[in-house]
Amino acid sequence: MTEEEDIISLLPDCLLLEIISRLELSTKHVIKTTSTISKRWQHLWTKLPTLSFIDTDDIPNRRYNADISDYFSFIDKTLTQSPTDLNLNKFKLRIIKNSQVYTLPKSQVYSWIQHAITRNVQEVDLTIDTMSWEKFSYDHELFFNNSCLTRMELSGCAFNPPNGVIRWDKLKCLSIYGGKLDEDSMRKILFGSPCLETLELDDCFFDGCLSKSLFGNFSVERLKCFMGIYESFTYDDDAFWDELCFLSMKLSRCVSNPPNGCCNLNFLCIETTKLDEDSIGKILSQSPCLETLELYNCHGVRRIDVTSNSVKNLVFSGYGCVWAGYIATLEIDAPYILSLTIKGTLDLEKILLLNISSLVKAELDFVSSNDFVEELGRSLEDIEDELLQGLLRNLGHVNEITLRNKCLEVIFCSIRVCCTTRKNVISNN
Amino acid sequence: MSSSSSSKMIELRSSDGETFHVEETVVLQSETIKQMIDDDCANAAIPLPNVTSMTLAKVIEYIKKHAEKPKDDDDKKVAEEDLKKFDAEFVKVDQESMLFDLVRAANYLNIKSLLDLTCQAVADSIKDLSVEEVRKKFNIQNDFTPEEEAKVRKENAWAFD
Repeated sequence: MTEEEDIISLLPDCLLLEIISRLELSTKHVIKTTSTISKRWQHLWTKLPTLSFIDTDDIPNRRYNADISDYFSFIDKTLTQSPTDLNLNKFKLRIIKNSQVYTLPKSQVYSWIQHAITRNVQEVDLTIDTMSWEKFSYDHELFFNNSCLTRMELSGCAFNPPNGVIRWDKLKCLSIYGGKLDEDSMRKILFGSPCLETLELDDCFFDGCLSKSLFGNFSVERLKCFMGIYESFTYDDDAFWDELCFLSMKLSRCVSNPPNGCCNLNFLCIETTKLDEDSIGKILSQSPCLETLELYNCHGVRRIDVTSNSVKNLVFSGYGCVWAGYIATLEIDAPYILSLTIKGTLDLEKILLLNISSLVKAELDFVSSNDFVEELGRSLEDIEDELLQGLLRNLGHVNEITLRNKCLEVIFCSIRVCCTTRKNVISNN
Repeated sequence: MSSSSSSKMIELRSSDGETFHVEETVVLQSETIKQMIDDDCANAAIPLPNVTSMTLAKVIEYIKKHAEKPKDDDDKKVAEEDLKKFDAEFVKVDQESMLFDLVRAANYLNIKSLLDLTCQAVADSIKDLSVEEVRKKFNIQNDFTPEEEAKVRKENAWAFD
């Protein structure tokens, strides 16, 4: 083979498409990059199993108030050039509202979604951020009674299933962002999606209360809730979580009174939540299979007792809340954990590791928050330094300690801690 | 009898007639060969008329590495890292044509992870190039007349902003 030979064009179309699809470009950029290479390449893009329209990527130097109706015409035109007899793996449409002057071309958007549906699309990612527009609402029957969809991400959309019926036979993952949900819509989704494994509710407003009867009989293994407003998410009874078969849960801002835990739970992440000693104890005692507990940006708790011997990994990331008052010292008692990660921004002067006798691995990658620096009359560096020194003293017996970023800087800038007598690993990345 | 040393050996013959002996457990990563074994067509050497010995040697290097099983969870993480490094090195080939041979071989032998790896490597190498640069890199003959090219641009005018 000589250097002069056109080696890429020797590949059959299907392999060129494999390559083009890995460029991870929006449809516009694929057309721009490939259609004028040569005649062979001119129409290749139409055979891609993905259509992706992302206004923020596709419209250069986009101004907030610009008219983007020519972008909508482009999408129309692109879809008319696309074959309708070729199945689509993925359809992605993101339109972020840019001005109140232009109304969302609903009928156009309908026709785009319909194009994807008639091509048996499997993954749909719709972000139609209408802000002050009324929520984009879609009610096409083919969409709600569909056995091709396996994955959906919906943002800023309100869906009105015709006759109130949803049938998503193959749907495995559903993410809803910024949606307004209630018991009734939740029930329709869960009843209509027998294969649903992952449900993510992000920044949703949940009006009402999630009852056990809603979740009890479903196959959902991973639930992630990030509710817009704390109190909008409540439970109807204490036994709510007990019989569920979640393996993994991520709960943010939605637990004013954290769940009782549940028997199959393996991974639990609690985020941006006020916690107390009792609530953590309650979760642990009722989650006998829990292996990983992650606490992200929680506040209010002074002592974390991880006394359950199933929990092997503790991730503590960020602590504190400006309006919730200052807590200087946090105690962690976790005799059975094998790995501990402390990261994020901490509103703390001291972390006392009480019993961490099983620990073999620790990772420190935190920074101190300056929310209370003035009140404390100390410098940020001083706080960080003391916090880190204290932790390192507690971690003396641990085999592997990884320090990253700021923690690594602190260690080099401050008094040289003599690590040579320990088998500590200090890595920087 | 699960130890790898006792695994059955499969004989593969490249397009240029060279034979390779590979453990069955390793070679099963190729869906194409797996099908042949399932259909009982692997008693003699399996001919691979689309794969040269040079390419086949590379493919075997890849599937051998990917067949290594970590002993425990700790080992698993190390092995994953190791595999990542191996993959990154693996696609750094001297000649671009080798990468395309591997794409074709991965496709023919139906080894999904190798197809992913090699196609991604090609995609990464052209990601930030202009049309002109892509043509130049792969010696692609521009068979459009200037008028034709202008017409293509005009048809999708909005995309060429």
